Amino acid sequence: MPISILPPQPAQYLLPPDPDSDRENEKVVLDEDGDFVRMISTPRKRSKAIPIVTPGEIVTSDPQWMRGHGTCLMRGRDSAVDGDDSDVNKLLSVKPLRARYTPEIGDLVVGRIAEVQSKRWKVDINSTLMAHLLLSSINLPGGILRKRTSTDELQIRSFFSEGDLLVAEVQSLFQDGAASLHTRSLKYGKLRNGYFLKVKAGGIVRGKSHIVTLEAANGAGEVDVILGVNGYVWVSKKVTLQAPPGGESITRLEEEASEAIYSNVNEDIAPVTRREIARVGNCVRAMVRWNVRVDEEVLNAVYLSALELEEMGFTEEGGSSNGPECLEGEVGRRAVEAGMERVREANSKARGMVE
Amino acid sequence: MECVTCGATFRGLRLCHSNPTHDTSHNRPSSHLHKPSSLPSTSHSFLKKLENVPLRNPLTRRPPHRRPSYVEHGNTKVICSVNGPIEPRAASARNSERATVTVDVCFAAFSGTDRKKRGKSDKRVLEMQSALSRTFATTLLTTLHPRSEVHISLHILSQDGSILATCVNAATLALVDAGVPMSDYVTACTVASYTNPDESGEPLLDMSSAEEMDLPGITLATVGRSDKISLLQLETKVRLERLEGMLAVGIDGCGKIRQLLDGVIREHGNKMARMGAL
Repeated sequence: MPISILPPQPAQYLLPPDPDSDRENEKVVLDEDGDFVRMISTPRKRSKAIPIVTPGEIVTSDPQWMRGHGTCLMRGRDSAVDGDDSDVNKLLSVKPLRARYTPEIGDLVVGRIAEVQSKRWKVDINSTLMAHLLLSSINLPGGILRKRTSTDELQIRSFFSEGDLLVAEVQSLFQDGAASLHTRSLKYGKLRNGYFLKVKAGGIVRGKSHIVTLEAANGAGEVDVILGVNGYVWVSKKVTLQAPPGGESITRLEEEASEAIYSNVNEDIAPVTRREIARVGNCVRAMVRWNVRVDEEVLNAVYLSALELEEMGFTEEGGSSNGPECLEGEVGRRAVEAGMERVREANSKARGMVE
Repeated sequence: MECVTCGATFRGLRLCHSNPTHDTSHNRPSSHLHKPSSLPSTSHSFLKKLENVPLRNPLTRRPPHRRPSYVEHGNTKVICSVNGPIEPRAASARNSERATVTVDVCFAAFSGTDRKKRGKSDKRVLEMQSALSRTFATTLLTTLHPRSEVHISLHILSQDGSILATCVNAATLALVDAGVPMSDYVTACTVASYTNPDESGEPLLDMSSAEEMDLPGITLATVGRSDKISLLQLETKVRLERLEGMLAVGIDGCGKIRQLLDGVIREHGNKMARMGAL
């Protein structure tokens, strides 16, 4: 009997959950923009439709609610919402489906220098206002203990100049909501050897760790991914600091590191590494596109799935102009789905071991 | 001519000047203007018609950061994208108390019947920009984002009357989608004053450019469901006793457009929510 080879069936469209299914504990929420009114979350079962509020909608006229973000008062009455008496809080807020990034203290962000002033830089972090990076809140070359001098002010462009990318942490907020950043740690500083990509601001959620190291395939070494909470992502080749021979002190190490930290020269990056960097970047894009939370575990799984898809020869139709790393459209969806499946399997296996 | 369904006479004027290939529902006999007996019912029968205004495909699929909105009123087509709130591009746009609203209007050279370029300093363009920025500055909650700028960019791809009104609706859609805080929708439409040969006249909603040339008319925008008018433009002479009726019809028309926009936004928002965007 002849053997026939069937083309693979398209995978089932798993990601968007059934709108009719009741999801327990779903935070309510939602959205759309802006203002006026909306609702908050309660653990009870939601009605079938996902609640979306639109501008001008009155959420509630009950004065017991407090007005939170995304709501406003009309004619002295609280316009707010369908409430469920949760005694946890009486605060009504509306979360926009899509909005610009709002900085919070402690966020790890990736930014781009937009302007250099006499003692500070203005950094674009995808927020409503530029963030500030003060000369006094960076690590100066020559060790962290060094004092800032006027010479440093004069050569401020030797640290960061316009267009440079950096990773930093939000140190404080000004009254108008603008952020003040700092890079006083070896983890932070100028970015090089990699690839910048931008996803929507809500696509990366705050998590345990935003700096992820992946073991890349095809002998490409390790790849670092920095997931800025502001939706800016940096994917780069991992560079390990060479500890000087003779076991010198930590301070010495920091000194050397900080000298290298402001270099503008990329290292040599092999074509295989570049290829994997591109693939990882596309994985992040596909995950955000399909609304999957981006963290170390899931990113790893999606990356492995993307590799598998390439091995199986599954590439975008008519995408001959794109390389096999391309994860647009259907390929991306399948990679993300397969990655999620992998995570679920691993989780259930781990649970089984515990039992 | 008589209306096939109810026998009422109707005029040859089109309420929504759409291309029949775009919206076939428009060609149904029932979608003609009915001659109203009194003003309130006037606005009702007109509003029914308004539902046929094809506001098609309003949020196009684009990368998530900046999706433009697209609105058609008949053959008038406008695409609008909103950027903001952002750091002001010009120092003059910085206000320490509130966000400023800046508007760029661009007429495509091919949008009219004859090819004509309108420069940035064209008087008409400047006037539209300032009217739009004043309208939105009052409705957006600008105090929430001091020292920043909300930039609205409008491109008119095709002109067939009611241009300012279409711009307002397109900008509202784009602002809502961009998550800019606003107190309510701003919606706009145009109303013409029409006189029958027998001297009975009633207002017409949503003028095409041919109607704009021949009939006196107003453009008005209202905030939300209220009767609050945030923009009123009158460029021709209108008989004073007609004006009140025109306003009443226009306000109802704006309310109807608000419902249309709200429906589109909800559908889109629910889709995003279902996809897990939250």
